[in-house]
Amino acid sequence: MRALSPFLLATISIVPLVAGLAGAVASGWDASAWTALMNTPGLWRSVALSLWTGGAATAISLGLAHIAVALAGTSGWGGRLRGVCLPVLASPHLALGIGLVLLASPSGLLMRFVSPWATGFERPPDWTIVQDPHGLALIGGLVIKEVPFLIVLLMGALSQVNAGPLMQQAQSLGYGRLKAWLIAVAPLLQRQVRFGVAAVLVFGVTNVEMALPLGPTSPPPLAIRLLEWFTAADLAHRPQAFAGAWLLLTVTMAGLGGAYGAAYILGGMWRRSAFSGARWLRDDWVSRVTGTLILTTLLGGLLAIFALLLRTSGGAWRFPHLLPSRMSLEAWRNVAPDLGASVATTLLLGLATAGISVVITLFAAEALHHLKRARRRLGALLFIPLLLPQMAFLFGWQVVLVSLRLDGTLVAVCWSHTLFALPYVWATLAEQRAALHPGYQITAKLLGASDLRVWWTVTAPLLLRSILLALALAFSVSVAVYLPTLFAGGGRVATLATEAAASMSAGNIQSAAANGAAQALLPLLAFAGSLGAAHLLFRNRRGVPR
Amino acid sequence: MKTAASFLGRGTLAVALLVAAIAPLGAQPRQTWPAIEAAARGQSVYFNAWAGDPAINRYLGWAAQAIEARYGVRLIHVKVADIATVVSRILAEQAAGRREGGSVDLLWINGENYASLMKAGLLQGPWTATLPSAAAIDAEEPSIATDFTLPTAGYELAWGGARFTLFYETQAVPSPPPQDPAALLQWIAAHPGRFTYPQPPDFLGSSFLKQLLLLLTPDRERLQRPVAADFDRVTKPLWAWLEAARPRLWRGGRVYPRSGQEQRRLLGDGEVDWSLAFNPSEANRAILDGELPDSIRALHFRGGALANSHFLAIPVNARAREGAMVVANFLLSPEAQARKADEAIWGDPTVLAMDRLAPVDRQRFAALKRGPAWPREYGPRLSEPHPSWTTALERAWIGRYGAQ
Repeated sequence: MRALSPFLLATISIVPLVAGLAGAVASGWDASAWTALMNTPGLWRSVALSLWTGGAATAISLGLAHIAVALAGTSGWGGRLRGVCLPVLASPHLALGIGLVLLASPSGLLMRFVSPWATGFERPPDWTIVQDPHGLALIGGLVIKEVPFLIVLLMGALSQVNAGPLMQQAQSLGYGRLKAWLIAVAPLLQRQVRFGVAAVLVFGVTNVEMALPLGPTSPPPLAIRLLEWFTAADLAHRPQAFAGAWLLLTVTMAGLGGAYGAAYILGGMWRRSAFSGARWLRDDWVSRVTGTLILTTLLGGLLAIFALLLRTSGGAWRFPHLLPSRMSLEAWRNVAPDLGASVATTLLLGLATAGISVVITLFAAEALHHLKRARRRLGALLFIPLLLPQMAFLFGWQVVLVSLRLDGTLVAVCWSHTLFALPYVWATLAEQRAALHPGYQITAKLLGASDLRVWWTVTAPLLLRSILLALALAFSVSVAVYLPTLFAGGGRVATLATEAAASMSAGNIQSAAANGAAQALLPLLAFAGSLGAAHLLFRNRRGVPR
Repeated sequence: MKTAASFLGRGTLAVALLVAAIAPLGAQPRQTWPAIEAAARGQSVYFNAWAGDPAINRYLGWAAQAIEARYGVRLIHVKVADIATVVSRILAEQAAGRREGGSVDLLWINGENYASLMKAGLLQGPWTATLPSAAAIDAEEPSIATDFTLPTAGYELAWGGARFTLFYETQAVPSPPPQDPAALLQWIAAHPGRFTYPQPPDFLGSSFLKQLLLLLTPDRERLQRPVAADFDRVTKPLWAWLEAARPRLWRGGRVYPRSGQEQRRLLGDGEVDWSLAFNPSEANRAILDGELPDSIRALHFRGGALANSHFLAIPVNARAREGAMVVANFLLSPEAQARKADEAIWGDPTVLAMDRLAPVDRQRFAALKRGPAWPREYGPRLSEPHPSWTTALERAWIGRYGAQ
């Protein structure tokens, strides 16, 4: 099993990919499709918007997350920080995006707070706050969603870095706390979360969930235009959509290349700054400013969720009333009858996906922990599904599932979910396993322990926090994915994601909000459970990072 | 098959394999209705239908119970966010060579989706004439007998009617409200930032363009035939209207709502004073649900309202063909249609002709109560233009306003 597991992982990923890409090549490799694509008005502006919003959001999120972890790591409010991150981390992107619209638009909650007593507005002002042509609202939304993800990822990586002594050393050389962290600890963390950051960038460039409620509309980012073509009733748009999918793939790769280049240049600047000798002793104001920014980001996410929940209870909600005209649980009653069955299916799929992907990944991580190149290649392979626009390769994958007579089965859906969970699980576990100091295992073996016992008593506890995080991540991916569920499930596997998307598409904001909230609750419980389990299991151990 | 062949020419993997699948079409054995009902007993019908509205879901839940009890057929509502994903699934099944035992038994479609599936030869038919309930359908009405100018030809069954309706806030719009495009333009000019429409190619946004074009163009009959070189000439008054309105629209015409539903929320929140819909009951339903205040009223343009219908169809590879027909027959019964037309339930207009119903059934419809936001005057029903106009209008709109 240990030797086979990397191949098993590769197979899980390669079969749908090859099937999907074959479908996409056959459908999009056509001169007329490309001519139609290139003649699309505003195509290049859409491309630029995708790159700009995805790139800027990733850069800002990563910077804020690093500083947040640095501030938390040097001041000891790390545990609380993670708690604040969880609700936003667990919320589906689309639900959070809609929540942000309900919060920040001219008729949103924030404007209602100050109207009309402070602003004099009896009617919402005609301001373009969300969906602005430059994508600033979209960037803000992505930052609010991704900062918590990156914080949790970085804090997971923190367990493999012995930050205490590094900090003592740097501070004894006279560096201020923030700078000590940024030059001694942060680079070690960054190395472990590279795949996670790449996932954030790819999501930023290719997402439709945030771009639909918050992004510009004339023209929208490229991914939205693809969605429009793929869902156009006129099938003549399909070849153009597939060609567009290839363009989006190229753009995404270019974005990743750009990020790699930027990281190289930034790394050099970092080193120069580390050797510059500047001590940054007076870092209080930096901490205060960035700390405020980070808190605003986290608070914004929480308020958006609050606005969404308020909407589930509301009747008509005229501006500038602070609360909806009548509070009721109507939307919840509408959702409730179907909730039982879809929650059960969602739970089953989530648990199966999390279990399967984490177990196989643990085996593979064990097999490859001393093979850096193989690890990297496998990681890159597993990562490909996140790079591809889902619509583009799900069609070919569906054709294969149908001919295998697997479509509409839980097996097919679970396979598709695992495909999308694996990159996150791999990113959380593989590097962490490799980063474990071999001394632990060697000592245990010298004491006569078998391989299995070494893993069980030494490796597993050291990795436990990452394992729990990986389980929660895989579970939440499974709960969140919509299109893979729809395509593999043949419409017959109803999960919270498919129900939420169906009500979202109707724009019935109340039941959409209720469904979105239900969809957020399961991952929230999973993340909370994973944190709680770490505390519980380690309650009698000292010095093990929790 | 010629159109299907040109479709195949696009070289999709999916459709390359379709050739084989198209052959057995049309070889349907004729069955009598009792035989169909008998064959349907025990079947499970997967009805793929847009499920955005809890009222629709509740209505189908009621239908499922009634159908199970009376005909022994299980109706399963496959909740769909976008019917295009179902079209895609049917294509995938064809590509994989599944000529029977498909995952879709019945689907809810109209317009371009129907045109696409027909063109690809993926719909079963003709089957609708076999249904006893179909006899009462108002088949002379062009918006029921044709689907966006394409004849339904027994391949799809009209299920509900629709008319393009505008909703407005009475506190902001004087009485009488503007009832033609020119008056509306005047109102927009006097009230900057308070009118908008969903962004084409959203279905409702494109319909707004068509509605305006039908009223503004001097040559309405021309729209029944495909677009040709005279597109610019025929649509000139439309662009003049839009150009005049644009700077005075919500967000200065730089941002548009994504959908009719989003615009309805904007109306409810007080960001705009107008909303658009195809279902004349929509505002009444929203008022009952507490989504809109009861100061909202509805109107049809005096020159006429764009009218169309939505339909039920059965894919060629449906597993439960007979069951699907039994479900369709029930959904067209006066009982089910009257319940559907009830605003307290769903509020979707019927496609049955009152003069073809028995008095007791007619009474079911006469007894329905209407809320305050129902258009007071009916103009004539205006038929949908040929589908090529939709595509051309959308393209031209995106070129002008969608990619600035």
